[in-house]
Amino acid sequence: MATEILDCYDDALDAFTDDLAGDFDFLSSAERETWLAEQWSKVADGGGWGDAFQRTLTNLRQSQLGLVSIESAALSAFSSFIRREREEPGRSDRALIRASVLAALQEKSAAHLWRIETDVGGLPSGACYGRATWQPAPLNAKGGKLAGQAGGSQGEEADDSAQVTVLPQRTFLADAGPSYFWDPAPSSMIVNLGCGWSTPLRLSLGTFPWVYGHRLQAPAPGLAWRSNSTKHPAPVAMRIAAGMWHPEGNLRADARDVVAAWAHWRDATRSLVEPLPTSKTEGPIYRAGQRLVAAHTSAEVAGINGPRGFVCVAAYNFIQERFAAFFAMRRALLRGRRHLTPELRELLMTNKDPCVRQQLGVAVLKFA
Amino acid sequence: MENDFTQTVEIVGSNRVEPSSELPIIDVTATELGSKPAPGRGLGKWLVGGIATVAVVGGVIAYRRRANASSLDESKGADPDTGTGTDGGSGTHADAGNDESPKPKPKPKPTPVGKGWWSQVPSLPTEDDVLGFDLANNWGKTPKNLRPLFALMEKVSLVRGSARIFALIAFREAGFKIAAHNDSEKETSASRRAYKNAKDRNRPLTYGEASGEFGSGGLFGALAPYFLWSGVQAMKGDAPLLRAPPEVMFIPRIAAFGAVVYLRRLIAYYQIDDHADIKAGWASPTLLKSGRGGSTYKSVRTRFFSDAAELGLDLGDTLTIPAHLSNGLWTGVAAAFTALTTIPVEETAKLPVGPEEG
Repeated sequence: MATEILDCYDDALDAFTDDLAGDFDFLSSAERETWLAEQWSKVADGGGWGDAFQRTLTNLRQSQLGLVSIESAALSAFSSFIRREREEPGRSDRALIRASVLAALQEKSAAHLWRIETDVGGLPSGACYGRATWQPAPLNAKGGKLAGQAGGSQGEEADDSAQVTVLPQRTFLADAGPSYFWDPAPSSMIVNLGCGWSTPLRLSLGTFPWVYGHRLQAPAPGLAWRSNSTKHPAPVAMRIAAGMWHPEGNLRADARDVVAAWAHWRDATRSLVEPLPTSKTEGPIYRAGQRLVAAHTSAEVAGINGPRGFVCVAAYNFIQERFAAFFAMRRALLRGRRHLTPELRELLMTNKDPCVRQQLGVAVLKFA
Repeated sequence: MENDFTQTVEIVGSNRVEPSSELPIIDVTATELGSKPAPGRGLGKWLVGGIATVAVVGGVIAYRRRANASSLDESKGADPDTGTGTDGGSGTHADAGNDESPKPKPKPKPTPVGKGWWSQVPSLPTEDDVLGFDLANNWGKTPKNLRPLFALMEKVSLVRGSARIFALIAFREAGFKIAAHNDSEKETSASRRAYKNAKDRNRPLTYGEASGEFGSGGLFGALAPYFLWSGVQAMKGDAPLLRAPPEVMFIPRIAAFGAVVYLRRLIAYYQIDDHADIKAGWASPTLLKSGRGGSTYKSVRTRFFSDAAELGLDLGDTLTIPAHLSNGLWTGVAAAFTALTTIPVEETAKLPVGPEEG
């Protein structure tokens, strides 16, 4: 059933997508919802909450609406998992700022959420946490150190006896230098030195929870994003990532970004993957189609190593599958475009991707 | 309106049929298509909807649930001439192909439903009952034997264009199987909750407890207690299904009555922006209020458009389906009931209301 729709982006994309995510008819509710359930199963298994998701899936299948509400149910299951595993009141500030930054990114660039590179100066609290209104404290005559208030909350009374130097810290890790997700170009972006940012914020939300191109070992860093009682940055990020393989988020995204990210990922890993054998008798890691298989140990431990760092098998396969899922949904949507809901049709018609315009028969005007 | 039970009416989207029953008396095997019901009450055998044969034995009617049928594609049931799947059983289109096999569970005690006016309801309407109605164009794969029923529903409801929408709902909710029944644990839990929550502010049901244990079913996927309360807002204690057992939803003309009343209420009391909103309201009216815009609301709408494409209905054909459905003036619930079932409403009042329950 695959078509040439993806050829517009890259000739290899159809086969890549078929191998990793399969194909489905968007206009068949049964096929579409089964495919979505498969995607969620892969994501849940990869994130360690597979059992919780399977229970959710069983309940859904018995419910009056069936799999129609799989997105909200799966997100709810993930949220419960994260809150159970990662809720920590002591990390309240960081959870708050993380969630605020993610919300700001969604608002700022809804079409470009797969891979984000942005100046932290325009983000809530400069993407710093620890002291919301940090200012350099006067030099201490004795030590010459910067002295902050313990706890750092705005408006708190100073407590000299408990004074601890607490500097603001980065809300996300800095993903500097060439990585599996980026080849950062020299930039004139303004950086915020308040908490040590010397690079733009770089997040690969399309591959959440593997969000940093330098940290592709297990466990995935996004799973360590803690919640507080009201803010849950990991579920927020998961919602963004899931949107990429659900109809609305997929059509909202500019696929050119995703194609560029995929091409970079493919090129960065190619020299590491191609030499691997295709039979398990020949090595501890072998290729099976577009995936890697760890023959003698777990996929979290085994991996490939290159100049950009270590990539565990679990992360490699997960990232491959997320790219494929995006393209599979995009292909299915374009093929079924005549029977979409009015909301989805609107998103399709306003998508600026030339390949989408081509499918719609809208002339792509080029000006010399 | 907040106390109105229809605020919380839930009509299922995913029926599932368990493959067993202890006392199979209503046989939903496909036989004797088009036969007329036997005259008189309680006579041996009659047909429901052309595919369900109902036998009355010893004055007790029960039904047999059949193995889950599958989608049109799978069952080819899909047969536009008969409306029956290859297994001839009840079932649903919803989630066909993505459900796990039902786990065996204790067989429920069949509901002894007694005999009543419902045994005199004719089988499916035919072309002669809807003379002049276009039964040829823009029906897609809607079974031909069911088209007159949907047409009659449009005529009775006075909601122009609703025939095809009813067809689309029956496609999703029941895969056009008149005896579709979802008595999964989740669904019976929902019907039990519905009965418990609404019984004190509604008229008593003779088979109230049974309806709570029933789940949902019929061509339009009705949740049993709400189905039996159809028309109670207008007719109070004279609503025609108050004394009927939930199994009457397997009789297409009676299922049609519940669906017509429900559609008119959706149009009258909820914000219906387009045809897909009707399906959202059918799944749960909450989706038209607090759930509007949420992921489930959007998914239900996506399903609706997918189903239309799969069934082959052109929702943009304004000759058969106006862009917006609206309620025409009608003569009321009682008249609609009689027009659909041929039974005078007074007949339904002859059975006692009370906790018969077997």
